[in-house]
Amino acid sequence: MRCMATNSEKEALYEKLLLELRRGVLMLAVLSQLQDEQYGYSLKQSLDERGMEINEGTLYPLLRRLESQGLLESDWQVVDDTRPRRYYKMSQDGETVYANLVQEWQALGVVMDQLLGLKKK
Amino acid sequence: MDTNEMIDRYVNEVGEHLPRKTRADIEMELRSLLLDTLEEQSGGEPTPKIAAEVLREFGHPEEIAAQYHADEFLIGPKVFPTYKVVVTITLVVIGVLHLVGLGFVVWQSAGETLIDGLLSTIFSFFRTAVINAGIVTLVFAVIERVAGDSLDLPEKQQKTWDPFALPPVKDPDRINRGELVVEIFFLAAFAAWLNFFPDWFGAENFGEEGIFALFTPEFIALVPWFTASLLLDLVLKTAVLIQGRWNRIARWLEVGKDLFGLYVAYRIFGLDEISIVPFFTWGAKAILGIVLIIGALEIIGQLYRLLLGRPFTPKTFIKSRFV
Repeated sequence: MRCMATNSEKEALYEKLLLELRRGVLMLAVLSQLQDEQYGYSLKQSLDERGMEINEGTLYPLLRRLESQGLLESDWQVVDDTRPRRYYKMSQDGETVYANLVQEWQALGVVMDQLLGLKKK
Repeated sequence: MDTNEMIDRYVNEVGEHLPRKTRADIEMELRSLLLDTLEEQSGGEPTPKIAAEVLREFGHPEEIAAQYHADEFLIGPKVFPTYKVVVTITLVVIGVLHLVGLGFVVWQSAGETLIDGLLSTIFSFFRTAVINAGIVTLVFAVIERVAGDSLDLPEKQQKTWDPFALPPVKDPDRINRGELVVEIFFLAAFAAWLNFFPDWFGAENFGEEGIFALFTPEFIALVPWFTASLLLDLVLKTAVLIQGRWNRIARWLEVGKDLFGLYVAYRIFGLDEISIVPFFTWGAKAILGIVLIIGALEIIGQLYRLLLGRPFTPKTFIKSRFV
Protein backbone atom coordinates (compact mmCIF):
# COMPACT_ATOMS: atom_id res chain seq x y z
CA MET A 1 0.00 0.00 0.00
CA ARG A 2 1.35 3.43 -0.92
CA CYS A 3 1.81 5.85 2.00
CA MET A 4 0.58 9.42 1.80
CA ALA A 5 3.43 11.77 0.96
CA THR A 6 4.18 14.52 3.48
CA ASN A 7 4.06 18.17 2.45
CA SER A 8 7.84 18.40 2.21
CA GLU A 9 7.92 15.28 0.03
CA LYS A 10 5.25 16.78 -2.22
CA GLU A 11 7.23 19.98 -2.49
CA ALA A 12 10.39 18.05 -3.29
CA LEU A 13 8.58 16.09 -5.98
CA TYR A 14 7.16 19.29 -7.45
CA GLU A 15 10.62 20.88 -7.51
CA LYS A 16 12.00 17.85 -9.25
CA LEU A 17 9.28 17.83 -11.90
CA LEU A 18 9.73 21.56 -12.44
CA LEU A 19 13.45 21.04 -12.88
CA GLU A 20 12.84 18.34 -15.48
CA LEU A 21 10.35 20.56 -17.29
CA ARG A 22 12.80 23.46 -17.40
CA ARG A 23 15.79 21.34 -18.33
CA GLY A 24 14.53 20.79 -21.84
CA VAL A 25 13.85 24.44 -22.58
CA LEU A 26 17.01 25.88 -21.01
CA MET A 27 19.09 24.93 -23.99
CA LEU A 28 16.70 26.72 -26.34
CA ALA A 29 16.60 29.77 -24.06
CA VAL A 30 20.40 29.93 -23.98
CA LEU A 31 20.70 29.58 -27.77
CA SER A 32 18.15 32.35 -28.24
CA GLN A 33 20.42 34.80 -26.43
CA LEU A 34 23.59 33.84 -28.24
CA GLN A 35 22.87 35.12 -31.70
CA ASP A 36 25.29 37.87 -30.69
CA GLU A 37 28.31 36.98 -28.62
CA GLN A 38 28.10 37.24 -24.84
CA TYR A 39 30.23 36.22 -21.89
CA GLY A 40 28.89 34.04 -19.10
CA TYR A 41 27.73 36.67 -16.64
CA SER A 42 26.17 38.96 -19.29
CA LEU A 43 24.26 35.96 -20.63
CA LYS A 44 22.95 35.13 -17.18
CA GLN A 45 21.80 38.72 -16.71
CA SER A 46 20.19 38.74 -20.12
CA LEU A 47 18.23 35.57 -19.27
CA ASP A 48 17.33 36.83 -15.78
CA GLU A 49 15.98 40.09 -17.20
CA ARG A 50 13.69 38.10 -19.50
CA GLY A 51 12.36 36.00 -16.65
CA MET A 52 14.43 32.88 -17.29
CA GLU A 53 16.44 32.53 -14.09
CA ILE A 54 19.12 29.85 -14.25
CA ASN A 55 21.46 28.82 -11.51
CA GLU A 56 25.12 29.51 -12.34
CA GLY A 57 26.02 25.90 -11.62
CA THR A 58 23.64 24.82 -14.38
CA LEU A 59 24.18 27.59 -16.93
CA TYR A 60 27.96 27.64 -17.24
CA PRO A 61 28.46 23.89 -17.62
CA LEU A 62 25.58 23.92 -20.13
CA LEU A 63 27.49 26.45 -22.26
CA ARG A 64 30.47 24.14 -22.44
CA ARG A 65 28.29 21.17 -23.30
CA LEU A 66 26.64 23.09 -26.14
CA GLU A 67 30.07 24.10 -27.35
CA SER A 68 31.34 20.53 -27.27
CA GLN A 69 28.25 19.57 -29.31
CA GLY A 70 29.27 22.14 -31.92
CA LEU A 71 26.26 24.42 -31.35
CA LEU A 72 28.34 27.23 -29.83
CA GLU A 73 31.80 28.60 -30.41
CA SER A 74 33.84 30.60 -27.96
CA ASP A 75 37.03 32.56 -27.53
CA TRP A 76 38.79 34.48 -24.80
CA GLN A 77 38.70 38.24 -25.20
CA VAL A 78 39.78 41.28 -23.25
CA VAL A 79 37.29 44.07 -23.85
CA ASP A 80 37.75 47.60 -22.41
CA ASP A 81 40.80 46.62 -20.34
CA THR A 82 38.81 44.30 -18.09
CA ARG A 83 39.87 40.78 -17.12
CA PRO A 84 39.86 38.12 -19.86
CA ARG A 85 36.42 36.64 -20.45
CA ARG A 86 35.22 33.76 -22.55
CA TYR A 87 32.69 34.95 -25.12
CA TYR A 88 30.16 32.53 -26.58
CA LYS A 89 28.24 32.76 -29.84
CA MET A 90 26.08 30.40 -31.81
CA SER A 91 28.00 28.53 -34.50
CA GLN A 92 26.65 28.04 -38.02
CA ASP A 93 25.50 24.55 -37.12
CA GLY A 94 23.98 26.00 -33.97
CA GLU A 95 21.97 28.51 -36.00
CA THR A 96 20.55 25.76 -38.20
CA VAL A 97 19.66 23.60 -35.21
CA TYR A 98 18.22 26.61 -33.42
CA ALA A 99 15.98 27.53 -36.38
CA ASN A 100 14.66 23.96 -36.52
CA LEU A 101 14.11 23.83 -32.77
CA VAL A 102 12.18 27.10 -32.83
CA GLN A 103 9.84 25.60 -35.44
CA GLU A 104 9.43 22.48 -33.32
CA TRP A 105 8.77 24.65 -30.29
CA GLN A 106 6.01 26.54 -32.10
CA ALA A 107 4.36 23.34 -33.23
CA LEU A 108 4.68 21.83 -29.77
CA GLY A 109 3.27 24.99 -28.24
CA VAL A 110 0.12 24.72 -30.37
CA VAL A 111 -0.35 21.07 -29.44
CA MET A 112 0.28 21.69 -25.74
CA ASP A 113 -2.10 24.64 -25.66
CA GLN A 114 -4.79 22.37 -27.09
CA LEU A 115 -3.97 19.55 -24.68
CA LEU A 116 -4.00 21.84 -21.70
CA GLY A 117 -7.15 23.58 -22.84
CA LEU A 118 -5.44 26.94 -23.00
CA LYS A 119 -6.57 27.61 -26.56
CA LYS A 120 -9.77 26.52 -28.34
CA LYS A 121 -9.51 24.30 -31.43
CA MET B 1 40.56 34.44 4.51
CA ASP B 2 40.16 37.21 1.91
CA THR B 3 37.89 37.01 -1.13
CA ASN B 4 40.64 36.08 -3.59
CA GLU B 5 41.84 33.27 -1.36
CA MET B 6 38.28 31.99 -0.98
CA ILE B 7 37.73 32.00 -4.74
CA ASP B 8 41.10 30.33 -5.34
CA ARG B 9 40.18 27.60 -2.88
CA TYR B 10 36.77 27.08 -4.46
CA VAL B 11 38.17 26.93 -8.00
CA ASN B 12 40.89 24.55 -6.85
CA GLU B 13 38.34 22.33 -5.12
CA VAL B 14 36.23 22.14 -8.28
CA GLY B 15 39.39 21.42 -10.30
CA GLU B 16 40.26 18.52 -7.99
CA HIS B 17 37.22 16.71 -9.37
CA LEU B 18 37.82 17.45 -13.03
CA PRO B 19 39.84 15.51 -15.60
CA ARG B 20 43.24 16.97 -16.40
CA LYS B 21 42.41 17.61 -20.06
CA THR B 22 39.85 20.32 -19.35
CA ARG B 23 40.75 21.34 -15.82
CA ALA B 24 42.92 24.40 -16.47
CA ASP B 25 40.46 25.85 -18.98
CA ILE B 26 37.41 25.31 -16.76
CA GLU B 27 39.27 26.71 -13.74
CA MET B 28 40.21 29.83 -15.69
CA GLU B 29 36.66 30.36 -16.89
CA LEU B 30 35.13 29.63 -13.50
CA ARG B 31 37.44 32.15 -11.83
CA SER B 32 36.49 34.79 -14.41
CA LEU B 33 32.75 34.05 -13.91
CA LEU B 34 33.05 34.19 -10.14
CA LEU B 35 34.89 37.51 -10.26
CA ASP B 36 32.25 38.95 -12.60
CA THR B 37 29.44 37.82 -10.31
CA LEU B 38 31.23 38.99 -7.19
CA GLU B 39 31.97 42.39 -8.67
CA GLU B 40 28.35 42.83 -9.69
CA GLN B 41 26.83 41.62 -6.43
CA SER B 42 29.20 43.60 -4.22
CA GLY B 43 28.97 46.80 -6.23
CA GLY B 44 32.72 46.69 -6.74
CA GLU B 45 33.52 46.28 -3.03
CA PRO B 46 33.75 42.54 -2.39
CA THR B 47 33.84 41.16 1.15
CA PRO B 48 34.37 37.55 2.28
CA LYS B 49 30.71 37.40 3.33
CA ILE B 50 29.47 38.39 -0.15
CA ALA B 51 32.02 36.03 -1.74
CA ALA B 52 30.66 33.19 0.40
CA GLU B 53 27.12 34.00 -0.75
CA VAL B 54 28.23 33.97 -4.39
CA LEU B 55 29.94 30.61 -3.94
CA ARG B 56 26.86 29.15 -2.23
CA GLU B 57 24.77 30.31 -5.18
CA PHE B 58 27.16 28.60 -7.57
CA GLY B 59 26.84 25.40 -5.59
CA HIS B 60 28.89 22.70 -3.92
CA PRO B 61 32.26 22.28 -5.69
CA GLU B 62 31.63 18.61 -6.35
CA GLU B 63 28.23 19.35 -7.79
CA ILE B 64 29.69 22.00 -10.11
CA ALA B 65 32.40 19.58 -11.22
CA ALA B 66 29.73 16.93 -11.81
CA GLN B 67 27.75 19.37 -13.97
CA TYR B 68 30.80 20.08 -16.09
CA HIS B 69 31.41 16.41 -16.61
CA ALA B 70 28.03 14.89 -16.07
CA ASP B 71 28.72 11.96 -18.37
CA GLU B 72 32.38 11.37 -17.56
CA PHE B 73 32.15 10.12 -13.98
CA LEU B 74 32.54 6.47 -13.31
CA ILE B 75 30.85 7.07 -9.95
CA GLY B 76 29.48 10.59 -9.54
CA PRO B 77 29.19 12.69 -6.38
CA LYS B 78 25.57 11.69 -5.81
CA VAL B 79 26.38 8.02 -5.42
CA PHE B 80 29.95 8.33 -4.16
CA PRO B 81 29.29 8.77 -0.38
CA THR B 82 27.27 5.52 -0.27
CA TYR B 83 29.88 3.82 -2.41
CA LYS B 84 32.60 4.94 0.00
CA VAL B 85 30.74 3.47 2.99
CA VAL B 86 30.16 0.14 1.22
CA VAL B 87 33.79 -0.13 0.07
CA THR B 88 35.04 0.77 3.56
CA ILE B 89 32.83 -1.87 5.20
CA THR B 90 33.92 -4.46 2.62
CA LEU B 91 37.61 -3.71 3.18
CA VAL B 92 37.25 -3.65 6.98
CA VAL B 93 35.54 -7.07 6.96
CA ILE B 94 38.25 -8.50 4.67
CA GLY B 95 40.93 -6.89 6.85
CA VAL B 96 39.51 -8.31 10.09
CA LEU B 97 39.20 -11.81 8.60
CA HIS B 98 42.80 -11.67 7.41
CA LEU B 99 44.00 -10.38 10.77
CA VAL B 100 42.37 -13.38 12.41
CA GLY B 101 44.08 -15.56 9.80
CA LEU B 102 47.37 -13.81 10.51
CA GLY B 103 47.01 -14.48 14.23
CA PHE B 104 46.39 -18.14 13.46
CA VAL B 105 49.51 -18.27 11.24
CA VAL B 106 51.68 -16.69 13.95
CA TRP B 107 50.27 -19.09 16.54
CA GLN B 108 50.75 -22.22 14.42
CA SER B 109 54.01 -21.58 12.55
CA ALA B 110 57.64 -20.81 13.20
CA GLY B 111 60.77 -19.96 11.18
CA GLU B 112 60.45 -20.03 7.39
CA THR B 113 56.91 -21.39 7.56
CA LEU B 114 56.01 -18.28 9.53
CA ILE B 115 57.42 -15.94 6.85
CA ASP B 116 55.67 -17.93 4.08
CA GLY B 117 52.43 -17.81 6.05
CA LEU B 118 52.74 -14.06 6.68
CA LEU B 119 53.49 -13.31 3.02
CA SER B 120 50.70 -15.50 1.72
CA THR B 121 48.21 -13.83 4.13
CA ILE B 122 49.34 -10.36 3.04
CA PHE B 123 49.05 -11.25 -0.66
CA SER B 124 45.69 -12.91 -0.04
CA PHE B 125 44.46 -9.70 1.65
CA PHE B 126 45.44 -7.54 -1.32
CA ARG B 127 44.03 -9.99 -3.86
CA THR B 128 40.70 -10.35 -2.04
CA ALA B 129 40.51 -6.60 -1.37
CA VAL B 130 41.11 -5.68 -5.02
CA ILE B 131 38.60 -8.23 -6.34
CA ASN B 132 35.85 -7.23 -3.91
CA ALA B 133 36.45 -3.48 -4.28
CA GLY B 134 36.29 -4.05 -8.04
CA ILE B 135 32.95 -5.83 -7.79
CA VAL B 136 31.50 -3.06 -5.56
CA THR B 137 32.83 -0.41 -7.99
CA LEU B 138 31.23 -2.21 -10.91
CA VAL B 139 27.87 -2.42 -9.15
CA PHE B 140 27.95 1.29 -8.26
CA ALA B 141 29.04 2.25 -11.77
CA VAL B 142 25.92 0.46 -13.04
CA ILE B 143 23.75 2.26 -10.44
CA GLU B 144 25.29 5.58 -11.53
CA ARG B 145 24.35 4.92 -15.14
CA VAL B 146 20.88 3.57 -14.46
CA ALA B 147 19.72 5.93 -11.70
CA GLY B 148 22.38 8.66 -11.40
CA ASP B 149 20.25 11.41 -12.96
CA SER B 150 17.27 10.84 -10.70
CA LEU B 151 19.30 11.00 -7.49
CA ASP B 152 20.04 14.13 -5.46
CA LEU B 153 23.35 15.17 -3.95
CA PRO B 154 23.40 13.82 -0.36
CA GLU B 155 21.58 16.21 1.97
CA LYS B 156 24.44 16.12 4.46
CA GLN B 157 26.87 17.28 1.79
CA GLN B 158 24.60 20.17 0.81
CA LYS B 159 24.03 21.25 4.41
CA THR B 160 27.65 21.07 5.52
CA TRP B 161 28.90 23.04 2.54
CA ASP B 162 30.64 26.10 3.95
CA PRO B 163 32.81 28.35 1.72
CA PHE B 164 34.80 29.44 4.78
CA ALA B 165 35.83 25.84 5.41
CA LEU B 166 37.24 25.14 1.94
CA PRO B 167 40.64 23.43 2.13
CA PRO B 168 43.64 25.58 1.20
CA VAL B 169 45.15 25.25 -2.27
CA LYS B 170 47.84 22.64 -2.05
CA ASP B 171 51.18 23.22 -3.65
CA PRO B 172 52.99 19.87 -3.55
CA ASP B 173 56.04 21.34 -5.27
CA ARG B 174 56.70 23.91 -2.57
CA ILE B 175 59.53 22.85 -0.25
CA ASN B 176 59.94 23.25 3.46
CA ARG B 177 63.59 24.27 3.70
CA GLY B 178 63.97 23.44 7.40
CA GLU B 179 62.45 19.99 6.92
CA LEU B 180 64.65 19.31 3.90
CA VAL B 181 67.83 20.38 5.72
CA VAL B 182 67.02 18.04 8.63
CA GLU B 183 66.34 15.16 6.17
CA ILE B 184 69.65 15.79 4.36
CA PHE B 185 71.52 15.88 7.67
CA PHE B 186 70.06 12.56 8.82
CA LEU B 187 70.65 10.93 5.43
CA ALA B 188 74.32 11.97 5.53
CA ALA B 189 74.66 10.88 9.16
CA PHE B 190 73.04 7.50 8.42
CA ALA B 191 75.25 6.87 5.35
CA ALA B 192 78.36 7.80 7.38
CA TRP B 193 77.30 5.59 10.29
CA LEU B 194 76.62 2.66 7.96
CA ASN B 195 80.02 2.92 6.26
CA PHE B 196 82.47 4.38 8.76
CA PHE B 197 81.19 3.00 12.04
CA PRO B 198 79.89 -0.48 11.22
CA ASP B 199 80.70 -1.71 14.72
CA TRP B 200 78.01 0.62 16.06
CA PHE B 201 75.32 -1.55 14.55
CA GLY B 202 76.96 -4.80 15.41
CA ALA B 203 79.18 -5.42 12.40
CA GLU B 204 82.60 -5.76 13.91
CA ASN B 205 85.84 -6.68 12.16
CA PHE B 206 88.09 -9.24 13.70
CA GLY B 207 91.20 -9.70 11.62
CA GLU B 208 91.34 -10.00 7.84
CA GLU B 209 88.46 -12.44 7.48
CA GLY B 210 85.92 -10.10 8.97
CA ILE B 211 83.59 -11.70 11.46
CA PHE B 212 80.33 -9.89 11.84
CA ALA B 213 78.74 -9.95 15.21
CA LEU B 214 75.16 -9.16 14.24
CA PHE B 215 74.75 -9.07 10.46
CA THR B 216 75.67 -11.73 7.93
CA PRO B 217 78.40 -11.13 5.33
CA GLU B 218 75.67 -11.36 2.63
CA PHE B 219 73.96 -8.34 4.14
CA ILE B 220 77.20 -6.43 4.63
CA ALA B 221 77.97 -7.06 0.94
CA LEU B 222 74.81 -5.12 0.10
CA VAL B 223 75.74 -2.11 2.26
CA PRO B 224 77.36 -0.28 -0.72
CA TRP B 225 74.06 -0.65 -2.65
CA PHE B 226 72.16 0.64 0.35
CA THR B 227 74.62 3.53 0.65
CA ALA B 228 74.22 4.35 -3.05
CA SER B 229 70.46 4.54 -2.54
CA LEU B 230 70.93 6.92 0.42
CA LEU B 231 73.40 9.07 -1.54
CA LEU B 232 71.01 9.33 -4.48
CA ASP B 233 68.34 10.58 -2.09
CA LEU B 234 70.82 12.99 -0.53
CA VAL B 235 71.97 14.44 -3.87
CA LEU B 236 68.40 14.83 -5.13
CA LYS B 237 67.22 16.57 -1.94
CA THR B 238 70.24 18.88 -1.99
CA ALA B 239 69.55 19.80 -5.63
CA VAL B 240 65.89 20.52 -4.79
CA LEU B 241 66.97 22.60 -1.79
CA ILE B 242 69.27 24.69 -4.00
CA GLN B 243 66.60 25.06 -6.68
CA GLY B 244 63.96 26.12 -4.16
CA ARG B 245 61.11 23.82 -5.27
CA TRP B 246 60.29 20.50 -6.87
CA ASN B 247 59.96 20.46 -10.65
CA ARG B 248 58.99 17.78 -13.14
CA ILE B 249 62.56 16.60 -13.78
CA ALA B 250 63.22 16.33 -10.04
CA ARG B 251 59.98 14.33 -9.65
CA TRP B 252 61.02 11.88 -12.37
CA LEU B 253 64.46 11.56 -10.76
CA GLU B 254 62.67 10.88 -7.47
CA VAL B 255 60.78 8.00 -9.13
CA GLY B 256 64.10 6.61 -10.43
CA LYS B 257 65.69 6.96 -7.01
CA ASP B 258 62.72 5.25 -5.33
CA LEU B 259 62.80 2.40 -7.87
CA PHE B 260 66.48 1.89 -7.11
CA GLY B 261 65.74 1.97 -3.37
CA LEU B 262 62.99 -0.59 -3.88
CA TYR B 263 65.40 -2.81 -5.81
CA VAL B 264 67.94 -2.65 -2.98
CA ALA B 265 65.24 -3.40 -0.41
CA TYR B 266 64.11 -6.35 -2.54
CA ARG B 267 67.68 -7.71 -2.69
CA ILE B 268 68.03 -7.48 1.09
CA PHE B 269 64.59 -9.07 1.49
CA GLY B 270 65.72 -11.92 -0.77
CA LEU B 271 68.71 -12.83 1.42
CA ASP B 272 68.46 -16.14 3.27
CA GLU B 273 69.81 -14.57 6.40
CA ILE B 274 70.16 -10.88 7.17
CA SER B 275 71.34 -11.33 10.73
CA ILE B 276 73.00 -14.23 12.48
CA VAL B 277 70.17 -13.95 15.01
CA PRO B 278 67.12 -15.62 13.37
CA PHE B 279 64.66 -13.40 15.22
CA PHE B 280 66.29 -10.27 13.73
CA THR B 281 66.10 -11.77 10.24
CA TRP B 282 62.35 -12.43 10.62
CA GLY B 283 61.79 -8.96 12.06
CA ALA B 284 63.84 -7.28 9.33
CA LYS B 285 62.03 -9.28 6.62
CA ALA B 286 58.62 -8.39 8.00
CA ILE B 287 59.59 -4.70 8.03
CA LEU B 288 61.11 -4.95 4.54
CA GLY B 289 57.94 -6.65 3.27
CA ILE B 290 55.88 -3.68 4.47
CA VAL B 291 58.48 -1.24 3.05
CA LEU B 292 58.29 -2.97 -0.34
CA ILE B 293 54.48 -2.80 -0.45
CA ILE B 294 54.31 0.84 0.70
CA GLY B 295 57.22 1.78 -1.59
CA ALA B 296 55.53 0.20 -4.61
CA LEU B 297 52.25 2.00 -3.82
CA GLU B 298 54.14 5.28 -3.44
CA ILE B 299 55.77 4.86 -6.84
CA ILE B 300 52.38 4.13 -8.40
CA GLY B 301 51.10 7.33 -6.75
CA GLN B 302 54.06 9.34 -8.04
CA LEU B 303 53.63 8.01 -11.57
CA TYR B 304 49.88 8.68 -11.43
CA ARG B 305 50.53 12.29 -10.45
CA LEU B 306 53.27 12.78 -13.04
CA LEU B 307 51.33 11.25 -15.90
CA LEU B 308 47.83 12.48 -15.05
CA GLY B 309 48.74 15.71 -13.32
CA ARG B 310 46.69 15.30 -10.18
CA PRO B 311 47.37 13.93 -6.71
CA PHE B 312 46.67 10.28 -6.20
CA THR B 313 43.87 9.67 -3.74
CA PRO B 314 41.38 6.83 -3.79
CA LYS B 315 38.71 9.47 -4.40
CA THR B 316 40.26 11.07 -7.49
CA PHE B 317 41.35 7.67 -8.76
CA ILE B 318 37.95 6.08 -8.59
CA LYS B 319 35.67 9.01 -9.27
CA SER B 320 36.82 9.96 -12.71
CA ARG B 321 37.98 8.09 -15.74
CA PHE B 322 41.51 8.25 -16.97
CA VAL B 323 41.72 11.00 -19.56
